[in-house]
Amino acid sequence: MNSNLPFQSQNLSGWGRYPSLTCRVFRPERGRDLDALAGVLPRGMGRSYGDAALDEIGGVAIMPRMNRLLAFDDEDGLLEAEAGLSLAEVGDLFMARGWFLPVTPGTKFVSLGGAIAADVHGKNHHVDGCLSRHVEGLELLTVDGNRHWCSRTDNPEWFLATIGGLGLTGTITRVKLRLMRIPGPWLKVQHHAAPNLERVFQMLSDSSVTEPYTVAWIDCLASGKNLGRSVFMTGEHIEANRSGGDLLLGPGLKVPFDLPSWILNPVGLRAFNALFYRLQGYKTKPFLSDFDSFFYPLDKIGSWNRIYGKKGLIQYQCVLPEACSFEGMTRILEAISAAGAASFLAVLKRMGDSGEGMLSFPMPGFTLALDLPFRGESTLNLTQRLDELVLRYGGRINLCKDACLAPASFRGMYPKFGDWLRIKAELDPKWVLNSALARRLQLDRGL
Amino acid sequence: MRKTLILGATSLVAERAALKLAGPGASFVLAARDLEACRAAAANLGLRTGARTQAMAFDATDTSSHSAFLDRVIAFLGGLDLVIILTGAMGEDPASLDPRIALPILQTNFIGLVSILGLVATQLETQGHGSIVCAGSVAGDRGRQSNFVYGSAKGGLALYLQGLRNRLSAKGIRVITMKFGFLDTAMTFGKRGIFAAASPEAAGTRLVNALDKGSDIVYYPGFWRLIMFIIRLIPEPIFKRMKL
Repeated sequence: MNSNLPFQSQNLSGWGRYPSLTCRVFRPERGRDLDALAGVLPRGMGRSYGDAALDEIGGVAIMPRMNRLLAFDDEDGLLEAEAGLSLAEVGDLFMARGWFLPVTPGTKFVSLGGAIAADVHGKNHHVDGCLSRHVEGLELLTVDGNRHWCSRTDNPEWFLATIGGLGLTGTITRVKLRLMRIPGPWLKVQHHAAPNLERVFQMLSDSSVTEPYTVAWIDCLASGKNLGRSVFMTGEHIEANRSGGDLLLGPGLKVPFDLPSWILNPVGLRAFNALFYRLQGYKTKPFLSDFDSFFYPLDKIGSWNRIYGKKGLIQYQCVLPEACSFEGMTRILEAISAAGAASFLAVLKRMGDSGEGMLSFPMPGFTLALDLPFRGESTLNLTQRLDELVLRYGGRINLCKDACLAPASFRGMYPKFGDWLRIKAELDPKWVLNSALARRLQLDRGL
Repeated sequence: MRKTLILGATSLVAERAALKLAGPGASFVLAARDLEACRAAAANLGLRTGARTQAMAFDATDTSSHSAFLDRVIAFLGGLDLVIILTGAMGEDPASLDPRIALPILQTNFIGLVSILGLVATQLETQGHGSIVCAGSVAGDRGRQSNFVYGSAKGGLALYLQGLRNRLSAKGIRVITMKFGFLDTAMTFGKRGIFAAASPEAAGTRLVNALDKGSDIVYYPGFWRLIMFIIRLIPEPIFKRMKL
């Protein structure tokens, strides 16, 4: 592309550190810098895992300096901000005023624009949907250099192609997001031990659970009768203070678990996962947790992705439709367990409605996410086997975490890809705006 | 609370310095040529700190507008306690012999500032209190073939500020010259020959600290004071043959 803006050549990767590519990096500081970068792939905070925010040909525009607050309505919680603003900053700035993100992913080091382009979800997906559900609108800088307001009423198709569109429809420059009123920074959390997969499915599906946040940490190294052994966790915002009233601040739950790096070997991992199950699963009483510990346990460990070494990791996240979820997850967990490939606890979660975006990941059913330390060919073979299972059960892979999916499998998983392509052709017929992910999945070749 | 005018308010150093200075009750006019970027900076400052903020357009080269501009600033703020000037631009070639390129560099970095600084100084002198912080550059410490047009503007500005400091000190009015070395901004990002670039946050903090301390001329990062001291010591017969 164009642009007289200075750039730096950097070796870049996603959070999984695989793959790694040398890209030209642009760093806009204000609105008119962005105009010069129309057609360059936007990259938020680099927390997508694979190759979604890499472009070794056109370069990437990183957004940490486009983080200004533009407006906030204290009555209805409507926040307008530049898209480089991080969720961490939103939390820090608005928690004290009684507002919080209506949906948050498992890390707060994500930009608003990146969160929308990846159509992220959180522990409350089954009730509150994706973050994008709470986005009133966004400004899209398209390849031709024009800016367009996109929402459910203005340019609705462009809006739906941009949500989950992985930055390929243009640069999200401004966002209007409705925050949620909360009573304070505290959550009431409860853990339940689930000795096997069947039990954790029951817990995740239990309609009498009223807490909006539910998730299960699952031990992917367990097998046989222990397959799917999990700790099911629920959480809800409550009015409390540090003394907690009836609730005690969970001991050791400032960080729910400490993660020493020496644990990264097969024996250590197995022991760690088993210990976690014992300690966390048998906390019978509800306890008090601050929002950072509850929503972002891994953020406290800093660059935890580095413990997998230079080769990095693949974060494998799939979702399977409700009806065949149990059978499918059993097969998937068996395959992972047999390969002895998983490391730390994985996350199992029930999902609600399908995402609105044409390339949104969520669908009603269950989603599993886990880290696979990257070991070259054997890891790629495993993900390919898993992809086949996911396809067979009618599920899909989360693109913002993916680094391995094959073009044909992608097409089998994303039925609205044709709609998305039509919009892409409208906005960028020559595929000026591209990414390593788009090339890998051959998105420009059409259906 | 403090009433502050910032010129060149869309520079990242200005934005960060303003965040350090601001708090509920403080008020700011953020001015620069790019009014839209000023509006974003002003909204951001107000929402993050609770300060009262206003964006205004300011063009250093349009000197005929300066008097009316300052009147509007003072009307909004209800007074004037602090003026921070961070305008400036290298231009397309900071060592050009082409008058069409060289003269605008002087307009932006020197003549325009002499205009607004004079008006500001008159105001502060009349009211008998206030402070001025103005960005110079290490480029103004010695004429070098790589940037001497820009450098001469900054050097002239430094002399002007020195004289102004001399005049206003009797009234207790501070004039601080900030001499920035490399900062990690769009001006230096990815360029060759840049080393130890300081973050705009740190530069903004240093600027605010200079107000609290008694400094007159501040080099930031601080080691530039030593570098420029040495460069100034080199005898001209040797210096003229050097490539700097």
